[in-house]
Amino acid sequence: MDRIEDIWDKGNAQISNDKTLTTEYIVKSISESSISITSKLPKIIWFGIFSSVIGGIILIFNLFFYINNKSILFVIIGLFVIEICIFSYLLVQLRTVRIIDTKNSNLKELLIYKIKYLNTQFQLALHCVALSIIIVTFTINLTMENSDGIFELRKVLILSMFYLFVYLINIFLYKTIHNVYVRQLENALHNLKENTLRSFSKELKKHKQIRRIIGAIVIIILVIGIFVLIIKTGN
Amino acid sequence: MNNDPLTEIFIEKISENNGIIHKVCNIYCNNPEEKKDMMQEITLQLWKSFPNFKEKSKFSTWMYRVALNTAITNIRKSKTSPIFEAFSEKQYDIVEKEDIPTLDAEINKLYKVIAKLNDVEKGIILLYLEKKSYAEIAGIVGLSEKNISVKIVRIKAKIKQLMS
Repeated sequence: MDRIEDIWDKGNAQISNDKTLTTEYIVKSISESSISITSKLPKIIWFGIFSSVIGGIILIFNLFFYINNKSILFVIIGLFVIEICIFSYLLVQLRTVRIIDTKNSNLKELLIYKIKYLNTQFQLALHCVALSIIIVTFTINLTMENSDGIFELRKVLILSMFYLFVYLINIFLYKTIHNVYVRQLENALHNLKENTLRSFSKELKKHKQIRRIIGAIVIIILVIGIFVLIIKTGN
Repeated sequence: MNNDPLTEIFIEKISENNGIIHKVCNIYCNNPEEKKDMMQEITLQLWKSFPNFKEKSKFSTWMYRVALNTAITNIRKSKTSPIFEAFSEKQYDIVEKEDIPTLDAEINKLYKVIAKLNDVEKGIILLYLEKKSYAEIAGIVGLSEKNISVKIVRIKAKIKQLMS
């Protein structure tokens, strides 16, 4: 036996005398909340779910306000469909994020799964959260600016700035998680097997391109929407 | 909570194998505060994963798997943890691991040397020193047995060099 193994065995004998892991300690530990990074993610998703529910309820109220205004009614129905999609997607993500730490797989599989999840599905979930906040704001705006079934959009600049601010928060959240956590996972995967990360980086790039295309379409629709609303309301 | 049979079985099994949690925490943590947090998190993750334990492997092997997965992928590492230089954006200064008062100087020296390894190397050498077979180590970390044997030779050489 080598010297390292001898020293280790001596240490094992001393560790076995450590009595800190008592029954009381175990019971206390399993009733505490987790301190893992992923345990904080459901809070963000819950916020998005809450916003989408609130948004959906306000949209239903707006249906009655704008029942005679076909163009606005069309916007409300469209937003309601988007809210349902966001709500469903975030519910699925909530379940995924809750069990992510208890996946009974080996280290390599777990690292790959977490890196892929945080770079793809979770990033999309963050966009959904941001979009649901924007829809809530817009629906509140619809209710407040209602003038006998006619929508009078005011303070366009403030509203646009708010939308931009919400998306900046979204980017900040993602960057924070990415820089402190995903990079750590990527380092571990690289240390485990050098080529593994490179082998699925193409897949992640493809996802990034799809995300950019969807993002561009959403921005174009938003800009056209605001432009049309400005012309329609004459502000 | 103590009356729940699942909880009682869990407590019994964890108490029998509590050395595993201590060893993983000693290897991955540089000070008592970090160790306290990690011990709690590993115990919690073991509890959450316990219903998934299918007895296909030994309980201790399953415990190592969950404990190492938690230590490497769940907790944000402090700036004191060594990371792969070429792949990280910045190189952190590695703060020396604090001595564990209950252990001899020689053992503390070995822990300090192991602390200089990266997270994956720490896990592999821990499993090797705990006399796990190459097949078991390969199953826990997800590499082939051949890869594991190569890595162990390299890690041991690194440790010997740092010890001398």
